Amino acid sequence: MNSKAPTNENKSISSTFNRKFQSMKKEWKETNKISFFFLCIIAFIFLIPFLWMLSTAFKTSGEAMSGDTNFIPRTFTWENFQELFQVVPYMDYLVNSIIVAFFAVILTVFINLLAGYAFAKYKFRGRNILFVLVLATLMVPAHIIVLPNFFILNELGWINTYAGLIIPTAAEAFGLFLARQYMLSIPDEMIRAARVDGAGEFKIFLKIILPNVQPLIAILIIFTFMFRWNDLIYPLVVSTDSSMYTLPVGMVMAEGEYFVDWTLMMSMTLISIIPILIVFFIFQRHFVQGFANTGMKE
Amino acid sequence: MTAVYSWFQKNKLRITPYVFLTPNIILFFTFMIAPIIFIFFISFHEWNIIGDPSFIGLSNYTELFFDSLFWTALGNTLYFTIGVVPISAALGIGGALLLRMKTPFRAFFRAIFFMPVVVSMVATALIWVWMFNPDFGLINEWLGYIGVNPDWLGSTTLAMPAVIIAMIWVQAGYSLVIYLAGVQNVPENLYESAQIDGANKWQQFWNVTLPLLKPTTVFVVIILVINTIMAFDLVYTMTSGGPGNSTMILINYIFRASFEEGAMGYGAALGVVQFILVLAISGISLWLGREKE
Amino acid sequence: MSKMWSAKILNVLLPAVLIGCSPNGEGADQESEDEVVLDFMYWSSSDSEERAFQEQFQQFEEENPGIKIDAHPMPGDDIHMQAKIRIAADDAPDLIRIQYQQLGEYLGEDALLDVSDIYEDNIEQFNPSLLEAVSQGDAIYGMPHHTDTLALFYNKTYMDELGIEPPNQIDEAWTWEELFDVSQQLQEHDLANYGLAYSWDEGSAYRILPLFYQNSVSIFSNDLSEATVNTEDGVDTLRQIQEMYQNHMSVGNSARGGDDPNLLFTSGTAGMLIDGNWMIPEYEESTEFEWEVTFMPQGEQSASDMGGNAVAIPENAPQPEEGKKFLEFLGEADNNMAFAEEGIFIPGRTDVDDEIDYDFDDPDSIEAMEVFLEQAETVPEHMAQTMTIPEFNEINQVIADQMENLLVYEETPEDVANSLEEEIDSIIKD
Repeated sequence: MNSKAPTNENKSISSTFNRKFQSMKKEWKETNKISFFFLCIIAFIFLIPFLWMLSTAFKTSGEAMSGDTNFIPRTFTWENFQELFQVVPYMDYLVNSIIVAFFAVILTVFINLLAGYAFAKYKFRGRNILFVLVLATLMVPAHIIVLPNFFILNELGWINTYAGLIIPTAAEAFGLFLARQYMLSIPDEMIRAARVDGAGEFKIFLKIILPNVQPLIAILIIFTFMFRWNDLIYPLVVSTDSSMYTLPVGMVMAEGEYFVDWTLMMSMTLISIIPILIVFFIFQRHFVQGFANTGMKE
Repeated sequence: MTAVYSWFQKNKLRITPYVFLTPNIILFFTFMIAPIIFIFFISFHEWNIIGDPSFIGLSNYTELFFDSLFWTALGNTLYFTIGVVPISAALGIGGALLLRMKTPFRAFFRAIFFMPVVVSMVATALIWVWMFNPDFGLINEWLGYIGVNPDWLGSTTLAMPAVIIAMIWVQAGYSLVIYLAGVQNVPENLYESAQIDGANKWQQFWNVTLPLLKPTTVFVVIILVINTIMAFDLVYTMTSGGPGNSTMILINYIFRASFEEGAMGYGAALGVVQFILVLAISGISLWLGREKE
Repeated sequence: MSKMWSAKILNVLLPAVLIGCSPNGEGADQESEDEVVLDFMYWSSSDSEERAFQEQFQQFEEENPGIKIDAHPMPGDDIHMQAKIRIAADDAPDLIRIQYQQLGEYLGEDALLDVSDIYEDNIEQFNPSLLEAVSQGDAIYGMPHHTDTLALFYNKTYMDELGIEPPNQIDEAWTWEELFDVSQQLQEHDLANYGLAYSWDEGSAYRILPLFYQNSVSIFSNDLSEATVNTEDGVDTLRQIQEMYQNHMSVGNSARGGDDPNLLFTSGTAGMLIDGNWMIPEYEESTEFEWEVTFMPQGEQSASDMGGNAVAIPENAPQPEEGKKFLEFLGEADNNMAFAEEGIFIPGRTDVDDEIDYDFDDPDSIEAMEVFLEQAETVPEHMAQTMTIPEFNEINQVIADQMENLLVYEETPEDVANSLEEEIDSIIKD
């Protein structure tokens, strides 16, 4: 996790290692041992379900159903995955998921930043009412509005299209809320100064605001990606044709109606979460910083 | 032309926010507000989706009062929420305070705690169904060493705790990350002065940390409550509301009534009621949180 | 059905900006003019079933150049919901596979196309109960594609150990007392944790109904006007179901419980399983022990479940003529038989029974299938009629709920009989 690699290449590897070791030793001395101990325990508890899934995915069916609790499979097998790829056109679903998530992230993050900025830094008539309305949509049960949404999309001719998968849920309240909260912490002087210099409003947004809210952008990317990657009910209704299935829909569809084989299920679960975990680990550094500045100051 | 331009220049600050909001407003209106109006409208009708709806006034709403399953679902939703939210929030705040201390691998721990959040609810549910499997699941294999072998998801008393455990696994990381941010905003010197005043750790937590984290807590509680009440995918995949109706929460009942029983109008009325309920809870939380500022 | 009133309302609500984006006219098909593509909504619950469908599609496309079948399997749970939504949105598929139990809901709203004209001289070749299920008045609204039924799978390895030989004649089928006794032995000798598993879930709670018919109880009167379940025999049946669950089944195997009955059986946790013929090919692959099939246990008489599916055309389907061609194709003797052979079903036509040659990996499975074929003749005719009333979905829900009360909440059979009667009455007497 220590990302500060030495820059001077002349240093011998052993001395670099030594330094690192020294700094680790120092760090360990300053460590609060009790909290470290607790953290280790909690982390282990949190990891167990993942480890159990991981180990089941590589077990043979017989071993998984033997009632043993070993985490390392006695016979390590790839067969579950081979069987899975025969049944499920995983790559097709993966491509759909990536297309949808990619464009959805761009669109959502952009319009949320714009709207968050408008709510945070402009005074205009109807601001509070609009903002409350937006927040209220967080509380609408999505499972009931999919039905009218289907009618609307059908009218638009957007069923089984990427547009239908990407655009309708691009406006979402949680991201907008985070964006607005974060933007509140931007000093007004900065914007005023830019206006005095004669910059246009959109240019201020692009050139002044965006570079200053990078942690926010990281958070919005993670949340939007997460939300889109995992969304089930909406793409389930929008795609009536399997060529448009995203990964979660494809997985649910493939899950045999009458038959459950847990090794297959766990390997399916595993490959469905790998892409999102990759994205998460890329962006997770920005997490706390991004949240910190949303500052919860109403 | 120049007149328009100069008018625009003069009113720039008043127009710009609307322009910036336009994409959001169009999308919200089309795919959120219009469907909500539709649902509200249909809640006054009897409708099975394929046929034509017939207007029945408030009947769907009055039927609610006599529908014992509605009250069961409402009670379960309350049970579920009370089971999940306080523990998740407490784990979040505890984890955040631990991570505030000096320890190695902080980023690593943080990532572990947040990992369940990024995984889809369906995947989470499948993992936990397998964990709770009475014959081959890890939990019962371990419990077997002390001689008990409960059928978690098959029992009306244990199914809800099992679903709650799965949900806490997800929500704890969520609240932890938000609290981590909140904890960062607590200035260190407050603790120092508290220490000088002779406050012990517990008093420091109770008198310094907690009050300062109040706005964070309000935010965390609202988000957790909303997530919990909307946890359709998790409940549907783990138990689909059973056994009996022991894990039937309101949103699953809405889905069942609307689509499985074909009573869309009634489902819509249930949806409206749930919406008002969540709105009320959030309003109350905000109000409680704001009071003493 | 009035056209798309829902869309009209929403049209008013939609901002003009978005309407501008919509393609002109309805259902802008990108397909070329001379090729018709039929959109078929169906599901497959096993590999062999999926293969059976694919072969039919291929054969049909060969025989009908210019028509293509665009079909994708979906889970059976979601298909009913999505089919209804699409019909309501006037975006109906050309063809839908529908369970007989779900048909009533569509028929009650006149949502299916009258296809009587595809039956001419061949009408007598179809199973009359199934034909009855897809009919309303004089008109026929679908193709009775196939049926299935339930029988008793058992773990032969366990039975051999106990020295028990299950019956191989239908009139010698076990009574429930005999079955319970076998189950008891399985549990006492620590062979299986549970004697029995029952394949049902919330959506198929009706699979418990044969147990009522076995005791000459039907849940409605003959004219379907009132519930008739709260009788002495009805209460006895409920008591028997309660005993079955409490003493012989896993707690999680109630209709809404968390256990997967197939897994209970294939893992050896349950020694016997009541399930359908379509599972035979799955068990050929996934069990490590020997298994066989015997008849459903009997009461005063034998009875089993009527499963299976029809294929129908929505009333507002875009290409009804081509759709009918496909229905006709499915009903032809050779095709109907080929489908049943590959998918391990009981064909909708009765004239192919003698020729049928099921496609099993393991030749012994034929014996298993013969049990099912014989069992299928015990499906009560009255049950076939009641299943397709428009309210059946609601009634099924009542059955599911009341079974949970009986099994999971341990209410007395008398109370449950009472509530069943009341709730069913309140549905059908509307």
